[in-house]
Amino acid sequence: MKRLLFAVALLLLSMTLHAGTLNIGIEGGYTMGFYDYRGAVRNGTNFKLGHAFEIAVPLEYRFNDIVGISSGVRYIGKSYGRENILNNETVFDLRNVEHFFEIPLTLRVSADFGIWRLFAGAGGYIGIRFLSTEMGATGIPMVGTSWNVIPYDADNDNLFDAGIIAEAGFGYSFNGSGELQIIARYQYSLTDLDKNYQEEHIERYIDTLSITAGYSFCIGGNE
Amino acid sequence: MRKTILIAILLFILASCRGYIERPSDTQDITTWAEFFDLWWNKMDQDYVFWSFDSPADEWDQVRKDAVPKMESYGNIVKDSKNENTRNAARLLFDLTKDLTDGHFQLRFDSNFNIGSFSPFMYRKMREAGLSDEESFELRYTSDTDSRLWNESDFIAENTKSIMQETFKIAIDDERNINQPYTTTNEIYDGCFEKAGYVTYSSVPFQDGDSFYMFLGKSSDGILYLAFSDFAFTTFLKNTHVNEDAKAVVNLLQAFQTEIDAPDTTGVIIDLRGNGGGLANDLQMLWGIFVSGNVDFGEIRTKRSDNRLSYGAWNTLSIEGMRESPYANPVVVICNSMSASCSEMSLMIFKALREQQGVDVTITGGISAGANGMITDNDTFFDAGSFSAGGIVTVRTPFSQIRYIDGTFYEGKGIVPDDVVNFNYTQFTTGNDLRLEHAFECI
Repeated sequence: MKRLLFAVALLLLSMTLHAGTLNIGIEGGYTMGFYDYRGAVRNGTNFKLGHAFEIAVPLEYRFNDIVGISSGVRYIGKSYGRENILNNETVFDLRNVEHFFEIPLTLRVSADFGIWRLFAGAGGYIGIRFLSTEMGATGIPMVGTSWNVIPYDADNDNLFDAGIIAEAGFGYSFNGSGELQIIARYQYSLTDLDKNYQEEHIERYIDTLSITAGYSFCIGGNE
Repeated sequence: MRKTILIAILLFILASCRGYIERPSDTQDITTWAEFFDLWWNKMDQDYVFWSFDSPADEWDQVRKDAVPKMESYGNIVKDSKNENTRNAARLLFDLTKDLTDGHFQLRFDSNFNIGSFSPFMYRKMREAGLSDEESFELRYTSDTDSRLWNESDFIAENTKSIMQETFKIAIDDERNINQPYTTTNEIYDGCFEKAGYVTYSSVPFQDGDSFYMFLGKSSDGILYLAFSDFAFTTFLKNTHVNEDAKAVVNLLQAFQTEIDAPDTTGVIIDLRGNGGGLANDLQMLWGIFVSGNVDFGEIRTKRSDNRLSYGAWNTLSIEGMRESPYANPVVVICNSMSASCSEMSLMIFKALREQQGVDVTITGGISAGANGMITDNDTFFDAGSFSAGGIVTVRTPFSQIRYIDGTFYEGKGIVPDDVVNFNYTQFTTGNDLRLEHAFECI
C-alpha cells in the first residue's frame, strides 16, 4: 500500500515536469446503486435501486489534447433498498448504504472542440469500506423508523473494495484556467461485500451509476 | 458497433464470473434421509439467526461433512417411529440441535412419524431437572410424559392454571370456559384477596383452540396481583364484538389498568410463571402504563443476507410511556423456567424501568427460559426464521436476535432473578406457594 501511494505521488510529481496539463478539482453527484445478490431470492423480498451520493477530489493529467489519465480520491455511498410486501402490506422497507473511500485510475481519451470537449475513459478503482448504515421501517413491533450503523463484524465483513470503471463526460473550459465537467460513471464491483467463510457462500455486490458535476483547476503544465 | 458488442460481451463474462448458488427447493420430492438432510441443513444455514453463537467459524459446515455419510446409510424415509433407521436419523437430529443457543428452537416431525418434538430449551430444562441425555431423548422421541423428575419441575408443574388450582383453590373445568368478573370476594387465597376475577378457558375458538387462564386480585392491604398464561390480549381485543369470553378478558385487563393507579393500591405483583409468551404487540398495551416518557429496554437485529454471519443493524426496542411521572408503587415480577419470549422481554422492560426511571422493581422466582427472539410462522416475512423441510419436519425459530439494552445476551441462559426462590413441588401442590409468598413480602 505504501509503495502504491509512493508510486502515485511520484507519478503526480513527474506529471508536473512533463509537457502536459495537470488539473485538480472538486466534484460531487448522485449515485444509483444496483444490488447483485447471487443466492436464492426469497418470496416477497424485493431489492430496489439505491440512492446515495459521492464527493471527490479528482486529478487529471492530460498528456495532450487526446489522451490523459484521471485519478483522485473519492467518497462514494453505494446503496440498495430491500422491501418485503406480503398480501399488499409492507412488512419492511429498508435502505442500506455502504460507505467507501476510493482511489480510481482511468485512462481518458478526449475529443476537443475548442472550449468544450467530450471524453470517455476506462480503468479501475480500489477502496475501503469504512461504514455501513441501515435506515427505514423494520416492520418489527416496538421499533420505530430509524437510522442505524451496522457494527463492523470482522468475521463477515469484507472491507476491501475494487472494481472496474467506465465513464463518459463533457467539459467546458473557462479561458484555460479551469473546466466545468459533467460525468457519467459506471462502476462494476469485483469484490464481494461478505467474506467467504462458509461452503454455501452467497456473493453480494453493489454496482453503481453516478452522475457528477464538478470543476477542475489547471495547476500545472502547458496549454 | 463492434466495440459496443465487445464491451457488452466483456460485461456479460464479468457478470458470469460472479458466483451463484442454487439452494435445494422445498418443493422437490424428498424420499431419502440424505435428500432430507441436504434440504434441512441448507434451510438451517440460511434461516437460523444464532450462528454468531453456534457457528462463529465453519462448525456448521463440519456438521454436514460428518452427518451426510450417516444419513446416507439410513436409506429411504419411513414415517414410523418404530423403524430403526428413522430412530437413528431422529437421534442424529436431536444431537445436532440439543445444544443450540436458540431458546425458541423446536424441530417437529410430520405427524405420521408419531415422534415428539426436539427443543434445546426443553433439553436444557430436562438436564437441569436431573434427567440423563438418553432419558431426555427418549422422553422427547416418544412424547412420554411419565417422568417424575420432569413432571415435578417448575417448567411443567408451575403455571397460571396450576397456581389458580393449587394456590387459589379455584376449581377449573377442562370441559368448559369459565369467566368470573372482577368483584368483591373473601374466598380466594385464604381471604387474602378482597377483590378478584378470573377466566379459565380450556379452548379459545379464535386462538386455534388454545387454552387461556388469567387471574386478577387485590389484597386487603392494596397489593394488586395479575397472572395470565399467554400474551394474547391483542387477539382478545379484536374479538370482543363477537365473543363473550374475549370481552371478559378485556374487562379484567381494563380493571387491572384502572387499579394500577387507584389511591389504595400499594404495590403490584405480575406473575409470569409458566407464561411462554405470545404477541409482541401486547407489551406496549400492558406495560406502557408503568412508563413515563420512553423506556429503551433492548435491541433487536435481523439478517441482511443468507450468509450465516451477515446481520443488519441493532435497532432499539422501546416502550412508549403513558404516564407523566415514574410509577411510584413497588412492582414485583415473578418468573420461572417456562417464562419465555414476551415474558422475558417483560422482565427486560421492568429491569430497564428500574435502571432508567428509578421504579422500585424486584424480580423473583426462578431463572427464566432464555428464549428471547421474535418469531413468525415462516421465513417469508423477514428472510429468516421458521421453515419447513420437505414435509418431513418443521422448525420453529426466531427471525431475530434480541439483547438487553446494556448489550447482555440472555438467549439460551435466562434472566437470573434479583431474589431466587427455589421451586418446591411438594410445597406448591399442597397450597404453599413460596414464590408468591416471597413476592408479597417484597412489597
